[in-house]
Amino acid sequence: MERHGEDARVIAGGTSLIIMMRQRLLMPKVVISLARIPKLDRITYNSNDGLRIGAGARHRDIELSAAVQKHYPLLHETFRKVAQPRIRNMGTVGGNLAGGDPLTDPGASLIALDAEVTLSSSKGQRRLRLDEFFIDYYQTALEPGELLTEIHVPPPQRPGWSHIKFTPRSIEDFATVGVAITLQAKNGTCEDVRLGLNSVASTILRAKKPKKSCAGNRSTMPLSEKWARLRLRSAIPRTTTAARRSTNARWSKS
Amino acid sequence: MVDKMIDWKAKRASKQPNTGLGLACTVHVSGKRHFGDYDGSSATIKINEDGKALILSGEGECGQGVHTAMCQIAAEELGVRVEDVEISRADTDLTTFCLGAFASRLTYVSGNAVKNAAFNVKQQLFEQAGEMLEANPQDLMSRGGKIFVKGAEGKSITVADVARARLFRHNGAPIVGSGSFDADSVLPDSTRFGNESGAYNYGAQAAHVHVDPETGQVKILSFVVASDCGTVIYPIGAEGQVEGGLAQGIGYALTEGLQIDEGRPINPNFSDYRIPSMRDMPPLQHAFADSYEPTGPFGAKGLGELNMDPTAAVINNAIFDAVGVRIKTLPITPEKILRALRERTRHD
Repeated sequence: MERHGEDARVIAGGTSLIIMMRQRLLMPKVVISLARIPKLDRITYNSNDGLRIGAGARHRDIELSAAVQKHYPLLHETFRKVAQPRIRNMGTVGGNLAGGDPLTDPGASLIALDAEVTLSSSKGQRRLRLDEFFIDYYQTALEPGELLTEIHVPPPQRPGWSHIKFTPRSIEDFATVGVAITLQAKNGTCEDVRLGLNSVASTILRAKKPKKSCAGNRSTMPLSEKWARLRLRSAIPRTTTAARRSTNARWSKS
Repeated sequence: MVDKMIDWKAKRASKQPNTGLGLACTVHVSGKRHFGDYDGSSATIKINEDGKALILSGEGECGQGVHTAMCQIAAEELGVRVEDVEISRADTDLTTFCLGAFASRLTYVSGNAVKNAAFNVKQQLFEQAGEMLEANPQDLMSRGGKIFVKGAEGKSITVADVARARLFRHNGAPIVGSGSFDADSVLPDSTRFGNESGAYNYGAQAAHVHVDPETGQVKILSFVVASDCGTVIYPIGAEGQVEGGLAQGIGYALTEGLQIDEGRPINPNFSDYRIPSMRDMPPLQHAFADSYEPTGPFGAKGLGELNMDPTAAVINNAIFDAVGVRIKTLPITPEKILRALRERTRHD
């Protein structure tokens, strides 16, 4: 990666890179495969440390992982909704996040679960909160020569969760709006909440206002309409086609 | 028929908010005379020394099951087992001239051609068998690969014996024959007036849908399809045509639409141009009409496109019944429904 710099692209599952290459949005001179890196697809869990997902783990591996099903039902639900099994059996979570595509689902749920990512290069490693990792359309905090190697999800902080993926056309479509939420409530009072959104802006993002407006509020219906509107004010969903159009336009300029 | 299948009266009587019923009927051709004044088909059948029949035809199989149907038609006419009939792939060097799979024509047009070829071959078989059974060829019958005198099934010879006897002798020759068919239709005139097809297929469909008034999303709760394709020759293939046709119809109605931006298609792939997947298909009930097409092979006629013709109208009618707005362009997206609902609220 260091030798080839911008001319090189990394490939794992190939479910997004190949499409981009076919559409001539990317034309790397060198494609570097991660297939032979041992243990990159490992998923481990312990109750103190939480969940560690190797960047090479496939969507389907995460969906079907016993630890994920038991301790992170939000992740199970989210990965279950990504495309369809043929894609999930190929695409990796590292590739998904590093692609920086705001239309994909896993990032929002991982943000709602306070995930952080490990970025590795020959100079060493650094850790970043996932919501700080996404910068713009297809742009992440990854520096040249750097590789996303691991996703760390701490032990679940808030037991309540929900995931909504709105697809107007086919069930297997990209979301028009994706909402992932984790919530801690006590006696009907919301104490803590975190919300991840996809397909609503140029990146997958963490909705920043929920704490202020929700924590301490007493509500029998945690996701009341007023509350939801407040949350979504900064995010403007668009038709999937419109999102694609701006994405394509962006790529054709660069 | 479809009203009973979808339980129209009961659903109407207990109508839930934002749900609706829709129905539409259609007619489609079985072949269409428009490539010059010919809409025919042809086939050649040869009987091999082992008694198996091979159909040579230029009509293409594209997954719809027509080659199986053609083998069934040949087997029925020849009086042999269907597993003893094979068919070649289309090859313009080797097979007779054919037009191809369009206008729901193959079962009807090429089915008739194959039936005529099989009839031709059967006459040759009976001529040879008549000598061997010391009987008049007109008095012979064939069934299950055996040829016998009508009413005297006990004494029979096999098609394989007959084919070999015809071949392995002085002046021997293989049993091979061709057939063709061109429907009694006319080339439409410049005003498109004219009976362009030899047979017409009829269909009716109904759907029960739910429309989410907050998102405009349409969920098809159930779908029923009734099709008149005359005799159903190949039931699994026919069922596949109904399901596949309906899937195309649903995509046409709700999700498909080529988007052009400054002269460039921006969704030229299946992740952005959405066709329905298995998981998008609603619960489906279907039925075939008890019908017989007098000019078709064993009463059959076309089926393929029939099942996607009325679907968009059915769904649009059901949406109108559910939320009272009528969308006049396809695909009927949630955005269009929402916009129409808001416009209506503004006018109220």
